[in-house]
Amino acid sequence: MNWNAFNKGSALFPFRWFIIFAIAVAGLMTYADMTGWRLFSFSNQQQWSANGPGYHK
Amino acid sequence: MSSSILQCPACGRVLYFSHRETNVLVCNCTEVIKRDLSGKLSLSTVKIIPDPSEVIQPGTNGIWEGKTFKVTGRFRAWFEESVFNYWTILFNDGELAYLGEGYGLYSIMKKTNAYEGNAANFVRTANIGSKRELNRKQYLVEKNFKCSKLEVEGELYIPEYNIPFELFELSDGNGHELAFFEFRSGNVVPFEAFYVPFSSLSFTNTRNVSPPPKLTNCNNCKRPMEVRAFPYSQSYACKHCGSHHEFRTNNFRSTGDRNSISDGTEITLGSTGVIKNITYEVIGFALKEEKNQERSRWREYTLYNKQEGYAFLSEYNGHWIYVREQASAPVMLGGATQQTLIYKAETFVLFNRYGYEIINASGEFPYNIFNPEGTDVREFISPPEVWIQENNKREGITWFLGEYIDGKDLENNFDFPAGVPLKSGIGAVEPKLYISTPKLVMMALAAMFVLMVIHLVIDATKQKRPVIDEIFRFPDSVTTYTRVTEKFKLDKWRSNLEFEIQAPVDNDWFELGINLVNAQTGTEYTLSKGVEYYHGYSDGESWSEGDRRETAYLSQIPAGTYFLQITGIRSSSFSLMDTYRLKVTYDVSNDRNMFFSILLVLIWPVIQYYRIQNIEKLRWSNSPFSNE
Repeated sequence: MNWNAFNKGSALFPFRWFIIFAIAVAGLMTYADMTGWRLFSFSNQQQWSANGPGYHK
Repeated sequence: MSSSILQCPACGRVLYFSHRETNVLVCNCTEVIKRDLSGKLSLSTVKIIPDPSEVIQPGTNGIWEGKTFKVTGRFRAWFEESVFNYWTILFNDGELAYLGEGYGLYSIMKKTNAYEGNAANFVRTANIGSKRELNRKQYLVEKNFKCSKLEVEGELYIPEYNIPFELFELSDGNGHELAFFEFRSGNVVPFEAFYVPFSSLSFTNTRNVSPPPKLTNCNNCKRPMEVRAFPYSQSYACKHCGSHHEFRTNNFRSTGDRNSISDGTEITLGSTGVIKNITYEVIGFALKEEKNQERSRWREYTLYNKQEGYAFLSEYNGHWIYVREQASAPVMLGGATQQTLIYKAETFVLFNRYGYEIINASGEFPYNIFNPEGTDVREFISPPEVWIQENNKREGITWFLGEYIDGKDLENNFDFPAGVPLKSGIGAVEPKLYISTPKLVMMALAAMFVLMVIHLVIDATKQKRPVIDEIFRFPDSVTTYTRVTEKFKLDKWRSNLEFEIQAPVDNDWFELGINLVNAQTGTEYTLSKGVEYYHGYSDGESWSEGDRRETAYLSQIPAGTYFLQITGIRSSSFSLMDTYRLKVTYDVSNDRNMFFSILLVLIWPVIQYYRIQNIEKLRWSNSPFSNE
């Protein structure tokens, strides 16, 4: 079995873009799961920094 | 391994038979010596092979199933339209077997006693395409060759020396192949055949001699003809006058027919090119036409490589298929009505069925191309591959495996004086977007499975640690009440907090403002969440909306020491809702991430499925077996 999906002789060749897409989705989900990010969540969470925006010279 | 030393009856040289079963030996004096069962030697009238040039030679070593073997010699059998070699091989454990070889097909053939008695009965009534029971298994008779001539080389074993003899090839559809040699009526020697690719046999000490072309003259125009792959090429169309020749009684003889020499060849005959790392010489060209209403025409190029045998390049409307004969092939026990076949878990569907005739030809061909009468061709497709079954009374059932090949790739590898023809329409096995539905489903399921596994593994590492679980009470006459909690530590690089709010509202609402404050940096994360529950009775029906329990999340909170400032707001100071419960849990899992990811990943297969359906409608519009 040729596992190189970008090799025309591979049985995975027709799925090459799907594999890339699935890896990207898996990466996104892994990042979200690891950091507690809720995907596609439109909550009213806001963040305020004690320093406020910008900086002093 | 037993051996015996004897003397050549012709020249008196000492002869050495390296195995008790080998019974024919070519002496250095070029006489062919036979050994009978009693060990007595005599001269044979059989001819030796002139100018042997095959890759394998006596002395070649190989490996099969971990056992080494040595080639000692062969007999070459001339059948009606083909020539095949049966090499005698001796394994290192003393076992003797044949290595069948020809046209790039290789098989290890081991003599078996399992069919003694039955085999003779079997072949008595065996016809090509017939299905017969043998030792309680169904076998399909795929080939029946008659050998009219034998030639030998080296030291070999031949069960019986009788010309003509017949060869039957059978298959049970489960990879069990048999070859029955019938040397005399009633004397059948059965062999089990195991087809193998050339590369798997790890040959050493091979022969490196260029095959000498057969030089002859055209029977019609008398100009020279050079047959490059003789004796395997069995027919020839003169490049100068288009006269057709077939090999009969030791030479190429005119069939009496000829075709135009303006043949429409796109690849230069005699040029070489590489496909799948195999260097081929283009030795023949034929323009074929289907014998049906469509009268479709396609071009077919014959390619030859000494080691890998023949291959064909078929071109129709600018679509190219690279085709090779296969020994290990599907077996259609269902007969001519079978519309699908499954080979190595891949489903191939009948796309076309036709007879054909030759419109134009030039060069040489591995069979008698000028006699396609009675040939029934069926094509089963699973793009980019096609199984082609050719069935006729003379050659039996022959299987070819074709694979779509990009014209641009060929243009880079072969000599196209006028470039590759432009593509039109969609090819029968053009892979354009094609993915079979089961494969698409399997791939989608595999992706879903991977996402679930990743999610569950990460879920197993979640702390799910309660930080606060407390009931808060509103002081009397107060609508807004703020509390500050004890400090707590969040220790992950980034994670979330789940807020589960329960408020006993009844046709009322409650809102909780949450302010998570980093005690060290002062950074605040705020969130508000309402809890409301209303119910009633109207138009004869009870109704309710909302819930007394709600959940909110703060996401991607960095590690640090935090406290909460929570502000409860109720509708009025007279509200019956005077308590609420808040449970805060750190680092909780989030299954919706997995569900959304699965939905996201399914977008591609769903879109692809609909695109494939449209393309397939176009593809199958060219097929008489379309369901549309």
